[in-house]
Amino acid sequence: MAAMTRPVAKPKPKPKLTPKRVTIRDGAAGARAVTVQMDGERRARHIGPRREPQARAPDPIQARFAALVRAWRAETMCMSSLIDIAMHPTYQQIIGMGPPALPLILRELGEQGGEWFWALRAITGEDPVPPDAQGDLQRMRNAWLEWARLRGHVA
Amino acid sequence: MTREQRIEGAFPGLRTSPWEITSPRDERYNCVGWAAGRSDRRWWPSPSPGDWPADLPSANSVESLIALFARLGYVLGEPAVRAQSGERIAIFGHAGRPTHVARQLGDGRWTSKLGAEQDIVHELRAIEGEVYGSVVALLARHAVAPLVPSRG
Repeated sequence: MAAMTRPVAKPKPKPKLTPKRVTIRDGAAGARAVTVQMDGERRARHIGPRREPQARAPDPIQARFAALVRAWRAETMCMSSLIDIAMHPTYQQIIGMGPPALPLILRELGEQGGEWFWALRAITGEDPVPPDAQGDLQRMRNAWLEWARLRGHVA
Repeated sequence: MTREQRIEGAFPGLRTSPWEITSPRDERYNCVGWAAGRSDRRWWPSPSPGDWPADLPSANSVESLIALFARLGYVLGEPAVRAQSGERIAIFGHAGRPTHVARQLGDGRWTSKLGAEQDIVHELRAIEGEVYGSVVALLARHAVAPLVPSRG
């Protein structure tokens, strides 16, 4: 007797699923949920974190300078002594940054003012303020900004 | 935080005494210029050009400040007597170094320029504390002398 063989069930062809709707939802903390709806069946996947456009890293010199200036202005706000203002540890750290701080100091002087003359003299070894303008803050500032413009430190 | 709160934060004594801001912020002059009657100069004894008249002692000391105000006709001492007929200047300091100068107004109150910030009117001792220390010298003059010392 011939052995009975059970007919081998032919595997059903998988239905070709075509996504009908794809939803992408951004959640908290950069998580991204993707929901794919196919013929009434919903499948959800989490694929995160989402990719952000590459942010430019802050210039460490500018960031340090900005932090020091913020602290210096806050901590010397009511100080009267020009020596105490210039000898403040934050101001000394700015001087210690050397020539890379020069364009930043000049921009700060032009935009916000302030007692930057000690630092400018210390870093450049120069003093473009004419003798008759010494002590007149506006003329001192103008002399330094003109000096900077001639040397291409500021536009 | 308002500017008044920032100022009271620096000078807690102002919280319990009358005071007011009397000018906008102006960095062109400081307390010494203001006390000397100049609102276009910031002076402080220092060898740095422009910070101090070149022909006065430039050490960062109370004595240097006294020398500037002596040129304007102020003399040390007897402030209570002198105040009845003249003007008074108070020099603040701590740890042997000067920190601030205030000038008395005709009504008995005092006026101070706070660094590059505003002028305020206040009671003399209300700004003593961590920032300015305490009053270390009082000077007075009877008659108004020329207000313009020579510049360096």
